[in-house]
Amino acid sequence: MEQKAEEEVSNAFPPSFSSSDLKQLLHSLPSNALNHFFSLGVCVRCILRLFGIKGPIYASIDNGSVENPVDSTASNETKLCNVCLGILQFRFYDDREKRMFQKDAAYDVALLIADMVRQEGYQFDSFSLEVSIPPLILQKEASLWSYIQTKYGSEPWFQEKIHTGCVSIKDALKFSLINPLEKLLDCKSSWCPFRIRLTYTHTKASEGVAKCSDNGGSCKRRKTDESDSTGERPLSSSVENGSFDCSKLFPKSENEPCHFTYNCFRTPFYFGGRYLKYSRNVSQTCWIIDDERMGEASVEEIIGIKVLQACRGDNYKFHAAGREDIDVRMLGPGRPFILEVQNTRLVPTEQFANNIEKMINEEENKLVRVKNLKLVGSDGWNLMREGEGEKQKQYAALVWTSRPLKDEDFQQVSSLKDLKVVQRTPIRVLHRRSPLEREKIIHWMKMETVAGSSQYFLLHLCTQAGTYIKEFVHGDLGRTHPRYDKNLRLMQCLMAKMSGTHTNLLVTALF
Amino acid sequence: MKPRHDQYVYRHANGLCVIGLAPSHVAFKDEGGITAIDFNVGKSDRSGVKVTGKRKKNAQHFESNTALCKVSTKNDSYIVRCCVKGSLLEVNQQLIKQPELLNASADREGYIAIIMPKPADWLKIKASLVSFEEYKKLREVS
Repeated sequence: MEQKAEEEVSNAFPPSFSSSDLKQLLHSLPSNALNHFFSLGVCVRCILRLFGIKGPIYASIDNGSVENPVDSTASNETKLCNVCLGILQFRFYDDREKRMFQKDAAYDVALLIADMVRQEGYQFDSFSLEVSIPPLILQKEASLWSYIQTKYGSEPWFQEKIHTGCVSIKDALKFSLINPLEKLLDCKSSWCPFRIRLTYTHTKASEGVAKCSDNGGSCKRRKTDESDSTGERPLSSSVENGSFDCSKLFPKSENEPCHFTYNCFRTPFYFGGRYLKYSRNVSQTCWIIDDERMGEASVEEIIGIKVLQACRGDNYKFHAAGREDIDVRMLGPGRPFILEVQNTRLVPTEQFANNIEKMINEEENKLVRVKNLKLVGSDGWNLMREGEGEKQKQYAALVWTSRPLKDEDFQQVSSLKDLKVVQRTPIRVLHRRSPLEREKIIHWMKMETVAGSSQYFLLHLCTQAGTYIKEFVHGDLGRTHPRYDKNLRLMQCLMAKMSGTHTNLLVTALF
Repeated sequence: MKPRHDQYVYRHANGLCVIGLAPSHVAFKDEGGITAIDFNVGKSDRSGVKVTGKRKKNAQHFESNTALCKVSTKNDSYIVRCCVKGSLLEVNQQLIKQPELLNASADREGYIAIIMPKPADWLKIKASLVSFEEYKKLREVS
């Protein structure tokens, strides 16, 4: 919807407007309604909105030169508009500067915003304007619109407008500000990650705003069959029957300007890739217990900090497709991951991603390596989900066994295909995971001798995702066991009799 | 605890305690060793409780001297106690069908139960337990 409003800016009216052009436009509108709106204390831009007028005229009007066209008296612009409470008159309390502002033209407000953007130091080639209006004003808008519907519903000019509805305050504000901002920031406005957010708030909380949400202002209609191709919101079907006393429309107590605050930010960028972990002392994510770090580093920090610094972001989130223990190496093709970086000041490119990958891989200590680092969109998440669940995972484990190995052992192990095992939640994670029995499949296994030892061997295995490898090998006090007893004796022979520590079992992930 | 009713408490770094019979327990001295185990002692059958979820819902809270189960030999039976105050997370159901696991490997597949004590409760009971080194000296086991 926001996209459409911006596209229509250039279509609706010629860019430059003089005050006589404005006069002419006002004269073309139905004078009885026009006069009534003026007397209700509605500002000129709100009036144009009510008649469904769009375009850069909003940006061109100078508040100082507006006159009531019907009786040429001074306009409403000196008084606070009863509908928009000054938003479209560029009157507000600036929360940043902590004082009241009263500007005559949209350009002056655009100046304030552009200054802020320059100070924040973002790199951008386009911007997207976001506006937030207090529910109170949307409520006033709704009241006014139903009032207008009842009073002028039968008039031909109104019947014509029913399909188009009125222009929302958000859209009118965008019509006002986008052209000047484009000039000041020297780029076009479009749907893009760099956002400029304008937030209006009001101190008077409103009651009963259930019907009005932040979206599209007051002019809402329940969807009908025809698709609405304009950028406006259709009419509300909530007709207020009862009092049409004008003084009740706009309670004086609410007549205060809004608080206005503005900032800019960038929506997150996502880097995807695969990582390899060469160290047995590096955890996947930052692991600190009681102010003490476990291990010497973490994969997420090694990758995240470099990327964050390079694009000058605020913070990062590391998402990996599965995980491995701190003392398990991750080799082979590497584990897929996505790094989400928030509010980057620079715009990352493919070349940028290549450079960061090089930087990480050229680190002296060679704990972690990154492959195929690139920018990803929402498709990245699908690749991640695939990488987690259904896949088969391959490992190598260095195992010690209490009795010397025989040739039959090697053959028997190789002959087991798609072995079903049942794993109760391992004791080492039982404190934080549910006690469950998980059935897993060991697709194949292969034993390899280790030179100079008859009791050490290398076990290559391919298992279902989610299998606890360490527990499969050492049995976890019998809490991991094959589903069919005929395999039990074989597995019991193979399961290493630990002498107390786990240094006799070293696992490496190879997928 | 009755004399010579020796039990072990294996504490993992995450705080969980595996409870079982130490090799010098009197039951092993009976001819034929342990022939049966019964978890139905005290007020409930310990093997019947289903503990679920990360928060370990339904786990029973026991004191260190609460009866955990009863092991029987040909002529006698002995009460096995929790040794540690905490939540009972699981008992080794395999023992019911295969009590010989206790004779063959009481320190591994023959474990009896897993208990989760609160950190404070562990600190209190720790002092009354004997380290492996001290145990070896006391029982003159190598």
